[in-house]
Amino acid sequence: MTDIITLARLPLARRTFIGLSAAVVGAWLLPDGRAAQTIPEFETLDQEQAAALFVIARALIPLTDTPPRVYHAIVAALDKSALNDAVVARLIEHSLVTARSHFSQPLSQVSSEQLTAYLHTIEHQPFFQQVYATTLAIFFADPDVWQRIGYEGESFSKGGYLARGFNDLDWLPEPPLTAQGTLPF
Amino acid sequence: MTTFSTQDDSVVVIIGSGAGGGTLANELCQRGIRCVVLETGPGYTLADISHDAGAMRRAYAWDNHERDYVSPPPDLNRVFMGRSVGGTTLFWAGHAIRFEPHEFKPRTTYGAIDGSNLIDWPLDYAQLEPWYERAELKLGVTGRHDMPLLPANNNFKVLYHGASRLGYRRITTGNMAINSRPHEGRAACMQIGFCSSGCKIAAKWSTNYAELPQALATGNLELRTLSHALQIQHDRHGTVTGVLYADAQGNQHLQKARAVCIAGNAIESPRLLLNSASALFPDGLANGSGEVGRNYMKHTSAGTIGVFDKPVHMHRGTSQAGLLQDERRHDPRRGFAAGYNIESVGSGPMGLARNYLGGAWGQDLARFADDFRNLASITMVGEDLPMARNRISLHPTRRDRFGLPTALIDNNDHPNDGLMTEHGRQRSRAILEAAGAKRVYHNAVRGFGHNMGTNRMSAHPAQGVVNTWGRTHEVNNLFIADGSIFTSSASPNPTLTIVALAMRQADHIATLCQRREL
Repeated sequence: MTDIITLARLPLARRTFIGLSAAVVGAWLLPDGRAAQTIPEFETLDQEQAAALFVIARALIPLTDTPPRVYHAIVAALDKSALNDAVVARLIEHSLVTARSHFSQPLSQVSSEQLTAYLHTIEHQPFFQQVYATTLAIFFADPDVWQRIGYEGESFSKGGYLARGFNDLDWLPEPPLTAQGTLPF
Repeated sequence: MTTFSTQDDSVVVIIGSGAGGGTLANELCQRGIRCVVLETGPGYTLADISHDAGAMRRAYAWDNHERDYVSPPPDLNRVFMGRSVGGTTLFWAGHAIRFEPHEFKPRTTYGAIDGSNLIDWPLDYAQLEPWYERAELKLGVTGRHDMPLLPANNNFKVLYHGASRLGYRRITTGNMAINSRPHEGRAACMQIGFCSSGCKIAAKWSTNYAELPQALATGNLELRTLSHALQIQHDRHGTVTGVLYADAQGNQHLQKARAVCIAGNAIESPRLLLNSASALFPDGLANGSGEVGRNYMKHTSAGTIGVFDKPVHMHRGTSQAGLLQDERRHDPRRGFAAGYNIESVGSGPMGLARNYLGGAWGQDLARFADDFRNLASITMVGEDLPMARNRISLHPTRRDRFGLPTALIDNNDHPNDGLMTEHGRQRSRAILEAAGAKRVYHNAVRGFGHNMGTNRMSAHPAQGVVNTWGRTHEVNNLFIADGSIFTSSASPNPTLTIVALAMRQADHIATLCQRREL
């Protein structure tokens, strides 16, 4: 996975979200390292806000080998919430202003250790809870995440798990027939 | 579908179409008694069921934000209740476990307990046993009669092995109302999982597709969906005359009735009685005892996840087919009264992360996700004690879309609940470790869809709301048929007992009708 924090620290990427966008949508990165004009647009978030939420979401669940697209989807969901709810929009805006002034630099340029330490100080605040709930909801609903962690999702369309491993655990003895029944066919 | 005039006062009006209401409707219709069922939610079919758990819960569960708490619980999801045809039976897990004889006599068995107003049930096991038999045959309960146990899934193998090593003996894939063989025209379980989002092949019993179609086929049932009961009305003698309800457009109708049966779950049923207060019943209909809404019980609970070195894939197959019953006895040497069961609980990662991590994040959350394929999960479910202060009351200011006071919930643990929960937590940990768990998680939030006790059954009218038949002590033609009539919570998941009591009540109502006493 491309480390967007490293990217963001490159001199040419002082405009942090350009670096972020490059990581998120690598195909759109121009040869000179700058992002194309078609960076993803958000309805309520500016580039620095989006970049900040991206690194916060990743700090909340830094699972190795997670496609950056997943964290980007979390930012997009927060953007949508802000669009639909002015209270959420103000919450995000104010909280990110506070965070930025804490570090005196964009969050995307802060080390992950510093960011994590800061997040611990705000983890009971509504802003954190909003981002956390959104992160769980998006992260654990993502098919790429499912594949990464070994979750197989709905099974009705595939005939259930009856012939797809519902009882394939073989590192413990099989329970006796006084404790279980046989297959239905 | 047969239709009845709102002026037809020969019908029995049943409010709610879940385990209690849906069963009662079918049993009455089979006996030739005409019924109108008012269901506040829409009617879904198997095709409407998707295995997006969040979407399904939004589609057919009551929204928890429609209720308030005196003391906010840690998780607003703690009250689960269905709101569509089939009620909570669309998304129940399927455990269909009988009470044991001592669980009908909790006050006698456990003795007096400070802070609890526990009483014995006014009926005993022997009286309900024939109805348990019939309920099990109706539901097709595994491990009973001719219905074989379900095959063991991976999650159950872990429970079985760990518990066996600790010397436990009463361990099976459970008494589930999930077909292990085809039954009553419904398919055998295909181990699809997502039982709590609805069974797309109808292998799990639900009144939605098992009872109500049979009732409709008799020509004796009119099922009115999107019909929300507002008030039960009575005459000057205190005899119930009908139910005022609002239809999908919000238009109000008065359906006349020879008798009314409430089966709206233990939150909404007492709310309806309280909202039906009148000059004759100033504290709420059938509430001369002051017990309507009180003694709210939810079961003790504590979930535990074990992390193993090898794969389990606990999400594969029937979500909760695993039951350990050795701890459901009353054994004061454990330091608490009453007992509990331990059940398998398979789940996807989203529910686990929400319920077990207590808000953990960062490397802890990443490690949890990384371990997902190697997790096994169990939960304890035990008897909690009734307390007068645990109650459903009317919110002093908040109103629903019809202008009626919403439910205000006060729910606190009795010290016995805490002691039992801690015991169950320790035993759950021991079971998973005996099976090889290298680490465990305990869940941080509590709650099932087991809502009980708020219109409890009592021998003496001063101590409860209904008699042994579920008939209110104060109003002769008013009945209740949901978990609210439970005198105590006992340890089993409540549905089988709700069904057995509803079948028994239907038989009683039919007898009363024959004798022209209703």
